[in-house]
Amino acid sequence: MAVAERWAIKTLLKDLITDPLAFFGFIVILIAFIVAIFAQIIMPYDPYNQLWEPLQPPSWTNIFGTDELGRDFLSRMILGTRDILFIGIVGSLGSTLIGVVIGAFSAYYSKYADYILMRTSDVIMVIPSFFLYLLIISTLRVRSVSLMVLMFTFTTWPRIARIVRSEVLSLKEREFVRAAKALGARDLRMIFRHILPNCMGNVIVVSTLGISTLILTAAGLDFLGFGDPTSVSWGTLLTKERKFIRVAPLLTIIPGFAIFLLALSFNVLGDRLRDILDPRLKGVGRRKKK
Amino acid sequence: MFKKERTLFIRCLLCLSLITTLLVPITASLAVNEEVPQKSFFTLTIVCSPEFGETDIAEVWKPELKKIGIDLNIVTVEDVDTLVMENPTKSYEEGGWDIVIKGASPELGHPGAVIPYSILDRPFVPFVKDEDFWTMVDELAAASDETTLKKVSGEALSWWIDNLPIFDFLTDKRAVIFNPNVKNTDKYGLYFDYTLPMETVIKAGMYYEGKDTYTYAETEVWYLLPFFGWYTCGPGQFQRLLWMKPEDKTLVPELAESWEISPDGTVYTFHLKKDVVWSDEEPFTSADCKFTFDLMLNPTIGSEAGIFLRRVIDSMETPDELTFVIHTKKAVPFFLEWLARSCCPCIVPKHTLENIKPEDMANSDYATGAKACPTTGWYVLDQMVVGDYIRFKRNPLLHSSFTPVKNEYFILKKVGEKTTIVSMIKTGEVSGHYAGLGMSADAPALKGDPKVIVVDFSPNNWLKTLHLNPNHPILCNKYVRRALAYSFPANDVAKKVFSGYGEPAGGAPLSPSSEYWPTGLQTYTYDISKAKQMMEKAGYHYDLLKVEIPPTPYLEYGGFLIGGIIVGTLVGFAVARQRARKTP
Amino acid sequence: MGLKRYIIIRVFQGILTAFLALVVIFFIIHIVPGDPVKMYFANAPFAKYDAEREAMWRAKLGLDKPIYIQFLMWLDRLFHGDFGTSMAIGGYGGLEVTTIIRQALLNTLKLWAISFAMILAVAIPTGVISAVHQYSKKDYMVRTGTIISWSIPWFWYGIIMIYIFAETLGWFPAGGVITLDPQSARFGQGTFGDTLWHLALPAIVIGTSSFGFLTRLVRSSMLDVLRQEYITTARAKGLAERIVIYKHALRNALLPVVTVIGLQVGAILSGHAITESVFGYPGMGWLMIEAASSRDYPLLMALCTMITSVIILSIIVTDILYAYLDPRIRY
Repeated sequence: MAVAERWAIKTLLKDLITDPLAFFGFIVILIAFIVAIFAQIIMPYDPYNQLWEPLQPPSWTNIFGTDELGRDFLSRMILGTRDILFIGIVGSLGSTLIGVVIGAFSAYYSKYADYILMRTSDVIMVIPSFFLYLLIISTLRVRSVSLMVLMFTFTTWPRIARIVRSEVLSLKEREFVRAAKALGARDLRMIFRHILPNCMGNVIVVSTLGISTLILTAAGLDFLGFGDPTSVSWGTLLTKERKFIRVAPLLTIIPGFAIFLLALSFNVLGDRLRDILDPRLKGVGRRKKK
Repeated sequence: MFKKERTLFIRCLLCLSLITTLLVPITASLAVNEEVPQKSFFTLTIVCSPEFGETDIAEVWKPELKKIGIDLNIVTVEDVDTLVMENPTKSYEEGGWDIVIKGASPELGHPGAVIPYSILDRPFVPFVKDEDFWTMVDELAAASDETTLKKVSGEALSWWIDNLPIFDFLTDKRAVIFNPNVKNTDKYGLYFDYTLPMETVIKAGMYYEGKDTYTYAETEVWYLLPFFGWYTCGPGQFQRLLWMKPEDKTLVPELAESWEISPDGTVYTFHLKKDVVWSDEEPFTSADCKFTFDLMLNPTIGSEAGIFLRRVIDSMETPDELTFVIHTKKAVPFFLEWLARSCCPCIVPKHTLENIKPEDMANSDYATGAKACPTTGWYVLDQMVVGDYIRFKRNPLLHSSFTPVKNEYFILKKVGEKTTIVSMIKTGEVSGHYAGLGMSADAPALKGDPKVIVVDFSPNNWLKTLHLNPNHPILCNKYVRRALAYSFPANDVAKKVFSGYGEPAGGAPLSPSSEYWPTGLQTYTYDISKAKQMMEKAGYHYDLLKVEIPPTPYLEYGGFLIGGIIVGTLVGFAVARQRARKTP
Repeated sequence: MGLKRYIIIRVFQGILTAFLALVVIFFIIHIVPGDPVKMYFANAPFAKYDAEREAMWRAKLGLDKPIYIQFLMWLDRLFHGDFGTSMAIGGYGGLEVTTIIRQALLNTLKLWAISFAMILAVAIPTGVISAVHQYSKKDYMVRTGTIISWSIPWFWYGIIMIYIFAETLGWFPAGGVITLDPQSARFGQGTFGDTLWHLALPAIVIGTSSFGFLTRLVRSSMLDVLRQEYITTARAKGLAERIVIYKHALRNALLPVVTVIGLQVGAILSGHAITESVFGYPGMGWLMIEAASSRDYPLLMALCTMITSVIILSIIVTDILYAYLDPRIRY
């Protein structure tokens, strides 16, 4: 594992530096993170304070201009980074965690549990996810960011669970696993130390790509009006400013473009990861290079 | 250290730092408190529906409330009406509501929004327990002539403003956007206050030049039969007995040629026009009139007008084919006006609808557009594609006393997106649409655009309302309510949220532009000092409020990062040591 | 095991999954607090609250009975082909759900037919080129293009396109299915040309944001195929490169592509909801949003049922096809 992984990380880093697209994506994500973490410091003004005239074009005081209630748009965008990243990353992380755990255990343990878990994941995958989001949001009374994250987590784990399960199933029969078992390794240790690391390649790719899907879906739901209107998430900003496209087109272009950039960066990252981990490391299960 | 351990240590370090970096935005979002925390007297929660810019109104109000020491918590709830209906008396903390914004409430069906009827029809009012209030309502209901009505309504309005169980804060001013090929648009504003698009176009003499069709885009959905309520294509398709001209408020004949009122004001006799035919060539008679009113009076139909009519009408007669008589329970000063302005009492054909059971009426073919109901009016239903558009065709059998319309077709098209509607007007696919008051920000933006005509309205009877829960432990104090009313920045809201299309209504359930508005009535204006005075009277003293310095959050965040790195280093060390010991 | 046995097992599994999915959906809609009848009265613009009509609707929807009985009642109605009447579409409700869905489905299929044609026309040649010239600059450009296409937020893209092309330039209409009045129609009202003209912008938006996926698919599938031995054989035989690629490789490469497309049927049916709503196009996605926002329970359930069953059906058919073609898969 050590050698293959180290090589993978080296290639990834090399790619990130040499390949312009990957580098660009990486920088964007880095900037997004920094902005999200230090948003309070970076923001020039209070995003909720209506200090100026509404719908002003960009000027030296308000670099992005002001929105319809006279708030500084740049500050709102900066604060909105948090919401977007939160939804995307936590949603993806959560679903990955659940998916990996369920997939690994279902493949490793009894057939009965496996059957039930797989049926459950079938049912979830069969219901069109967008529809499910609409259903849930429209039947519950309150709208919030946490609700969205929860929903995303619960609808995307099956995909990951399936990947993990198929990998674990195939690895279970490999010789090194049998050897370890013969040596007396306990089940849990087996899973975590030997099997899982070899599946992570695919999982990492899928969850990274999942982040960008979640970002787009969250923005889309916001756009349709199913998001929280008081939040400053980019999707909500886009919806609110959309009415003013003829007066202040910049207010509509900026949030959309930002969403696009962020989704693009995560996609690029995931794509690079997939290129590195997939075809060349098909034999990633081997512990040592032959 | 051995090389292997160093790699392990670096890996651990990277992992932990990454995890911490990931955790930081998460915890930051959870711990966020963007506002400058200032000690306030209490917190109120305003419940908004997610549409129509209502949260924007709350957001403009919030800093003003902050100035008088009240924290406003903005919450969006999917359906506000249900929340209020199910928990009428509970405060938000108990699962009910504190403050609620209700959408624009047109008083179209009730000329001048005379108070008793507009009050009693509102779902929130039953929660008011004041005896004074209900006495006044009874008095208003009993008023049988114009003068008494105006006097008592003036008193009621004063009482209302003084005691303020709920208040109306903005009166509507709208604009309409037309394609330049639409002619005679200048009267639109005046006529629209009285009625709905199709009839406005017809009566104002508007038409789309160079085309057979006039297309009107609307974001809401429309219903075909008039007696259900006001949101219908009734007027224009069907006709009323009489009509009120908005320019001079005179009553002009429509289906009734002339009418008389008995001296005591309880008998209305209508003489119907001769030779009026339905579009299926059946003759129009007084039996149709009686049938229509019977429908409205029938509670199973669920007609909005029925609530009012059941209070007013005693009985009806049809002595002969061209005479229709209504007996009212008492003299109602504005009954004729109501008949002339409301969208409901448009006459429908008895011979077509009489065989449908009342409970099936809403699902019948005529209501859903599968079949065209015969009309006496200017347009007949041609085709309806549900959820998409309704197309009407010019009625060739229109009575000779009416001016026929210039466009052969009238299409009511449903377009969900308001911004798309404006695009469609510019390209000519759609003839016109009303903007302003939160429906679209486009009217001011398009004023100079040669591809559209923008027509501004003057203030009318539509109101936007804010309701305060009268059973709330804090809001039951009328001084608090007055303070809230003084703190409301109606002009700012009109400018920022509605692009200038609104005017302060001052806290009364009646638009100041109504003919029943008493002269010299004091209303609430935006005045923070007066608001503070009211709060003091309510027992909240400002010297007790202290301003707190907000904490600097970024120290925590930086701390997280550094802490993560330290922990990572330590753990890496420990693990490396462990490994070193294990290796033979 | 034989093919027949496999089919039976898969179908049975599919039915079980469908049933469970319906249970889940039903319970989400009905068990969450929120009285559908009260919400109906709150949402329908003039359905004034009336105790009698509330009782009527309650009896009609069977709300006074416990949940599982409601579910069984609904299932029973379903088997008799009665999908219920909509509570909100068309205003006061009262329209048969099947009528509404039929119209919307037709519209969505029209839109997708055109989008798909566009996507295929672009994706297949691009994928092939990218696979054949792997690692070259062309390949890099194509891969970048696909990633960009994946990341575009469709709603934003749609709005901007409408603003530029419909409003400012006036090349396309801003939405709708056909031109409503005869004089505005450049290509005649209701004709094929008119429909195409209206569908052009939405199709472009859907096309540009979806072609990435398909291109990638074609590319990876072609890559796999090009590594096979029979391709080397064909080349060794001396066949022209073009024939090798298009006649031998592409045909085999398209098979997995077709199966994946088959699995996307569900996505197609749910329509590109956001794009449809931006363009005011009354298709399935738009219908879903309308039903969800007006809490129209009969319509929601019917849509769910339909889409879920189609998805399951497509999965089963694909699986059976696979099993038929590749005997190793039957377990």
